[in-house]
Amino acid sequence: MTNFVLFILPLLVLALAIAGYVLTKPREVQK
Amino acid sequence: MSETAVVVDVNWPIVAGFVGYLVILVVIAAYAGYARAGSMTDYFLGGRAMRYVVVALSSVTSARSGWLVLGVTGMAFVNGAAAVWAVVGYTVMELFLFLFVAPRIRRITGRMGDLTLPDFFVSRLRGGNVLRGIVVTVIVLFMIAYVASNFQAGGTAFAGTFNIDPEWGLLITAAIVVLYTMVGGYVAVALSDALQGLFMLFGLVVLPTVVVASLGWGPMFDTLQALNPALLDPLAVGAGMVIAWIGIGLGSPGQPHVVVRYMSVDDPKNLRPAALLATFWNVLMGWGAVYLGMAGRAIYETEDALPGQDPEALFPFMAGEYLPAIVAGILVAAVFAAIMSTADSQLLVGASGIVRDIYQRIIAGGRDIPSRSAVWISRGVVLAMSLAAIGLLYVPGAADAVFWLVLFAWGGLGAAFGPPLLFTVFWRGTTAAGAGAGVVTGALVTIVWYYTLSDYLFEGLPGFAASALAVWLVSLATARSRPADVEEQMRVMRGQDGPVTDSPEETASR
Repeated sequence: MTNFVLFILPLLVLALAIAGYVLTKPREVQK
Repeated sequence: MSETAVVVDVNWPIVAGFVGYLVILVVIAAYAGYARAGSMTDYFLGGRAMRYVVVALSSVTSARSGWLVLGVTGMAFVNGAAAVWAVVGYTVMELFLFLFVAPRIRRITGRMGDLTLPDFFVSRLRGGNVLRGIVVTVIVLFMIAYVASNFQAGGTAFAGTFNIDPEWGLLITAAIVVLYTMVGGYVAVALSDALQGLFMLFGLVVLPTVVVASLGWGPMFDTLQALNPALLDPLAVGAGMVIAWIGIGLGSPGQPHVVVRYMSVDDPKNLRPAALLATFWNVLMGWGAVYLGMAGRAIYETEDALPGQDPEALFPFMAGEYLPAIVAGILVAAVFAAIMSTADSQLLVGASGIVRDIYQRIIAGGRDIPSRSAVWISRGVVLAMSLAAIGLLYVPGAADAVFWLVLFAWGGLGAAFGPPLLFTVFWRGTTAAGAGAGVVTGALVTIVWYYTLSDYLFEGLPGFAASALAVWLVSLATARSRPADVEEQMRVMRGQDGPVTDSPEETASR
């Protein structure tokens, strides 16, 4: 648990940020 | 002046670091005053033309600066690995806000020409002066209290480092903040906050790296295990504390001085890279603060080894012990700057509420004020609000009220504005009455809970829940007063209304 919160959790949060960045890429808007 | 005498008893790298920082601030303020202070939109939102890097960094630093550098390192010193929960909640919440809430707020506020959080609520919900009055009153009260307490904190830090009277420390801190905020407005505030973000990242990455490298992870964990095994157990503080610390994140959507950052970005599309950058910054600084606190505990073992037996003194103390004098000097300057960068943002948001919402919209009935006079009126209000904040500290009863309000500031603002903001952004059924009810309920429940049940649960959580419930129920009860053009507003927020997002008058004046 210690290693998880100290080392894995920050990487998971960063991975979440990257996933969010990629998945919110704007698509062509239908007018 | 007696400053020469002061400099003699202080080590010069700290003075050099501090003076260097002040010179940079003056340059930034002069640039901002020259480049972008031609209208109220310039003065309070940087003309809605801020780069995403500045928006990302200034939003993370003005939200927490002093609390993170001094407070979280102290929490990790006392509680060990469990302090992680205090940083994970707001980091994830702010990622969500940047990706999904900020672009919607940016699009609609640009379209409507909104400058402040009350502007946003009123124009999106077609509310009147009652809603505007409720929102702006809560903002101005909390912001004056916040500013006063930050001036006080700056004064204390200043006095401790430069060995002068805290009252002079307070006045010097206030004078610096007021000067550059008055001259440069939002651009000066945002640029100085972004610079502060660089200082903080440097401090919270370099210092923990140096300290942990000198110890080694293995020996550090062994020492903590021998000292108290609970320091390595992130759940040792109990479920209540874990939930409360994660719940700090619920405060983020309700901070007006953070929400205006979203409104100031040049293009809503740029909030995506801002989300990524802000999250990297939050993660590096947050976990850096936790590592530093834990390493400090392994080295000093008890609070008695720290100056004043105060865990919050850990960061400046370790900077002095582990880094070359000149670098430590810069980091100590960064602590002042942290306090100042929070005070300036709160000062400007409070002033925007007074000028835009109370004066222009409520008293003057929405009449246009010529751009130049608006900027000068705003500068006057920044000065007046600072004098009021300082004055309050000298009136015994009022000073108590200031510190009383600051106790609830983060959780109370989060509960008052967070749910109304999120409902207004995502739910077409939200009404002006619902939002107003949420603001009042959130603030009141937070305060009442603090005095009655806060031993069991952090007051921000029930405050947030009660506010959300109030928005929902009152909106349902007043469904007939939903704005007629809500569908169009939702389309604008989703970015489905063509590429041009800002109001034509404002775009023309750029």
